[in-house]
Formats: sequence, C-alpha cells, structure tokens
Amino acid sequence: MVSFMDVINRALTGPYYSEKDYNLKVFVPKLREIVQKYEIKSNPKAVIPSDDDLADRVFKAGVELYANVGTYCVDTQRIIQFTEAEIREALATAPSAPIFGEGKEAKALVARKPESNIPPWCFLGACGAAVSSEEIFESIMQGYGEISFADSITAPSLATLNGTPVQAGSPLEILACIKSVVLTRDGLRKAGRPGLPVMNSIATAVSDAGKIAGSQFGLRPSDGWLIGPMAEMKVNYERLNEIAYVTSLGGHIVVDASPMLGGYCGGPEGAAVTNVAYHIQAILVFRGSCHASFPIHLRTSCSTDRGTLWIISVSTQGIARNSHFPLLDISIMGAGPETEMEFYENAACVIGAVVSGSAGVESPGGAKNAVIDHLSPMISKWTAEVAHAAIGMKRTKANEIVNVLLLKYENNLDKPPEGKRYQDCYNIKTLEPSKEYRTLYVEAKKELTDYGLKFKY
Amino acid sequence: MGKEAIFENLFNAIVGISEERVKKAANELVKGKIDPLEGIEKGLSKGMEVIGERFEKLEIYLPELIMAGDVFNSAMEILEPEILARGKSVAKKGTIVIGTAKGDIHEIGKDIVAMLLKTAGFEVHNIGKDVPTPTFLQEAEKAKADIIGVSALLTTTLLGQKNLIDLLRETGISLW
Repeated sequence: MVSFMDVINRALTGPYYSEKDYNLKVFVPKLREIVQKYEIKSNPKAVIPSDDDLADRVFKAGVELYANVGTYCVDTQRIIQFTEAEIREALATAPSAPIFGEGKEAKALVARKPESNIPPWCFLGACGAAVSSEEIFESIMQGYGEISFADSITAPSLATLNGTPVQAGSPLEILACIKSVVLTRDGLRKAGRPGLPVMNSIATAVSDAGKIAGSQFGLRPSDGWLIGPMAEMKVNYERLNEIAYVTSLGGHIVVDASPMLGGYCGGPEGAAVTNVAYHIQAILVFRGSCHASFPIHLRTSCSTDRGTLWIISVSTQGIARNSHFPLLDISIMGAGPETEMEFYENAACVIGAVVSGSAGVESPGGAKNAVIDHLSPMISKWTAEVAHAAIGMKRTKANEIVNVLLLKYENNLDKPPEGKRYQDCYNIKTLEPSKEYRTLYVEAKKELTDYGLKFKY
Repeated sequence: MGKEAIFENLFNAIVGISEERVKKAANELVKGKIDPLEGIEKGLSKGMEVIGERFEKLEIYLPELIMAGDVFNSAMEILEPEILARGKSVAKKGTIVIGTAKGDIHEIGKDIVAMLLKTAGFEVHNIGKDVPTPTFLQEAEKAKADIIGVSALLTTTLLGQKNLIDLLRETGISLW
C-alpha cells in the first residue's frame, strides 16, 4: 500500500487548486457525472433498500470518485491523488480484524455482511457530546462502562475545568484533554472494566496538540484515536500531524467522516457515493483501523431523516459487500434524553445499519450532540439492545419497521425535543434512571416488539 | 427590449444559474439606460429569493447556492459602475464582519450565511475560519461594521462568541 510518507509527499506536490475550485470544479462535477453513469437513484420508501446491484454500483462509483478527486489538503491547496490500482491494493490490504482493548476486554472488530448473523460491535457512550463538569463526566463514563454489551466506549468532551469554561486552542484545552483521559479511565475502572477500549480518543481535543498531549495520560495503543477529514474529502496539517503521531506509536486510528446531504455532495445519491470514497480515504490517507461514518443532513444536523437513512443503508451495504475494512455507523439524533422520539430515531438508525452490514454501531449523545449534558447511558443501552435484536433480520423487514418509526418522528425533525440533562433524568450517584425515563424505555421496547423486533435481552 | 423583459431575464438567469445569460441581461440593461438599482431589486434579488427558498427546501443544494451567488456577483460587476456613474449607490442594509471562532475550522454554514447576506444587500467581510477574538474587533473597526457574526460548531469554540462580547464591552463598544 502507498506509504504515509508518500501521502505527505503528494500533499506537498499534488495538483494545485484553490479550495473553491476543488469544491466546484473538481469534486462536484465529477460526483454528479459518476452518480449518473452508475444510475444511482434513491427511493424515499425504500429507506433500507434490498437491491444488491444498487449497493455494488454505489461502491464502484465511490472507487471511481476517489480515483478522480482524491483528498484535498487545505494547507498546501494540493490534491493527494491515488490511482485506481493503488485504491484496489489498499482495499485488499486494509485491516480486517483490528483488536481493540486490553485483557479480557480485548476483542477483534470484524466486518459484517448485510443480514449477517454476526453480532455487531457496540461502540457505546457519548459520541463526543459535551458535559458540564468533571463530576458528570466520571459518572456517565461509569454508566457507559456498566452496560454489559459495550465492546468499546465513546467518551464525552469536557466543557469546563474546575468550573472554568474550556477554550479551544488555549492551554485550558491541553489541561482539559489530560483531565478527560484521567476521568475516562477512572470511570471505567469504577465500572469494573478498565480494559475497555476508548475508541474516540479525546473528544475534548480540538487541536492536534490537545489530542497528543492528552493521550500521554492514559490512552493506549489498543484504544482508538478518532481522526476525521473535513467536508468534503479534505484534510489539514493538524489531522496529518495526529496521523503521523499515532502511526508512529502503533496505535489504532478510527476515521470518522460525515458526508453532508444537501452540501457539496448534493442529494442522497451523491452523499452515498461520497461515503464510499471516505471509506477508501480512511485507509489510504488516514491510515485507519476502521471507518466510522455519520452522514448528516445539512439543515437538521441529524442522520435520522429518510434521505440520510437511505445514504447510511445503501453505502453500508455497498461497503460491506465489497470491503473487509470494518465500518461503524453513528446515528446523530435530533431528540434528547427522556423523550419518546430519541428511542424511535435511534432504533431507525441502528436497525438500518445492522441489517445493512455495518460492523458495528456507535451510540449518540442526544439533541444533535449540541446541548451540554443532554446524553444518557439509557440511549446507549437501547442502541445495543436494538442492534442485537436486529441481527439476522431481512432488509425488507427492517424497511417496514423503519418506515413505521419514521412516520412517528420525521415531522418533528425540524424542531425536535431537546429532552433533559443527564443529571435531571438520572441519579448521577447511583446511576439509576428516573422512573419516567424507565417507563418510556419499557414502553418503547414493547412498541418495537409489536412492530416485529425480537429483543434478546 | 423593454425593461420588464430585461428584469425577467435577470431573474431567470439567477434562477437558471447562468453567468452567460446574466451578463447579457445586465449589459442590455446598461445599454437601454435602465435604472440598474431597479434591475437589482426586480430581477437579481427576486431571483436570489427563489434560490434561497429552493435551497431551504433542498430542491437545490449548496453548489447551486454558491454558483447562484457567483452569477449575482458577475451581474453586479457590470451594474455597479453604471450605478456610480449615475451618482447613486447600492442601498446597503448594513456592513457585517463574519468569521468562525478561534480553534474552529467548520465554515460551510458561515459561508452560506455570508453569501446570502451579501446577495440580500449587506456589505460582507468574510474573514475566514479559526479567527482569534481580537481580529473580529480589529476587522470590524476597519470595515466600520454594524454587525459581527461569529460562527462556532463546537462547545469549546462557542466560547469565542462570549469572549468577543466581553471584549466589546471592555473596549466600551455599545451592543444592541
């Protein structure tokens, strides 16, 4: 495979374009041409399509797209290009079963196929959503660690340090990153699972310096360093610096990427094809051990609308059928904790991902991951239970269920309920949810059972 | 060609995102000695309203929105000298300095807002991403801005908005 030194050299010597020209003269026209060439068309009723040929065409289109548009380096304003042969080689030699975690928690993350009977990896936690204090941080980390289905953890970001708001790019960010790692490990130790891998490294880190400095205080090579591109198909020196560090350390890189419906990708078809291109970029440029994908809607900032669910499903199917490099799917929900809608939205996303062949699912925070303390272990537990219930389900059945769920919430996506703060719907000392929250959970489980989901736990 | 037809051509060129057609219509307007301000109001701006509505409904996407803004600007390059020659100026709704807060490199949303404000009649100074707080103040003073826009996506960069407000208060600049 092309080496990382080659990648850096190409970032320094590749074709020069202004960023606007890359967007509008390279990426957009080539994407549109390829979508047409491969006759890719979304269907709002088939949000979980069962068309293998369509999935394969999306994959082929993604390979062709990446071979034509590469990755744009915003610092050098040059395109890091790869040939189709280099892309094929990268797909053939990409990691297939990276082992994350330590001791009895060490486990291989394996790729799955659509409608697979293999249990999906459950990457549970905050998805980087912000918490207001060290106390909340440690409490919720313990809560996540105590979910027995958790194969790995996604930690929150810390918004304050000793009551002082953390400013990105300042020394406070470095100190908060260090504190985040310490609190993460302490919370998991309290949960009795110190070996659990943290697969979003340090969500508090905005800068490369924050991530690298913080990692010295408890991250392990068997954790996952979350490093992602900018929309669409772009990287900068800060991210390349992080990659240089983690690859030298022998650590795992988890590459999160978010094609945007309505943005430069255009409609769902373009975003699905771009998601495949991100998959390849994750191997070649980001040197990943796995790809974590979260397509998102430009206007709602969620991934649970009809169009985005289609993007997730069809691109996951295309990737699962044609690549052994593990793909995790993340759901960003509009609704927050202790609302009916969060259960519906999350179930729609998780069912779609699991039956489409995702290697695993990452649980979200809540309220678009944008409101401080709006997250809970409950929705992570729900993510895992739904994921396990969807194992082996046919895509046609999943499509039926997801369509029922969409009808229950899609009209509220423009103004979803924020829900409650963690400390308002949980006892943060005993880690018990409120009676009201538990009731909502029980009712949602019963309702999903009525729709045909067979919960195992 | 009558002025109503030229206004319609300007409108259609924006909605159809055609630089060639908008330049042709703008040149016809100048040649016909029609008030360019009326052309902006009844042709170009109305076209941008339709573009904005279509983008809101995602009938069109970000590339079309940006390209429509570019088409608008190329018409303005032809019309502005004519406006100045008539001793007039484009009615300005205000001057805004806009950027993304220090530490934050997300700028798609900010760029959309900047483009729409510009085509809606604001003088826009887009100062980019990862902008230190004092730079907002300095650029606003330089541009004699009425409004400062600070975009931030992350919790730890949202603080950049508060920092700017604090700095404005410290320096005695009145807020409203």
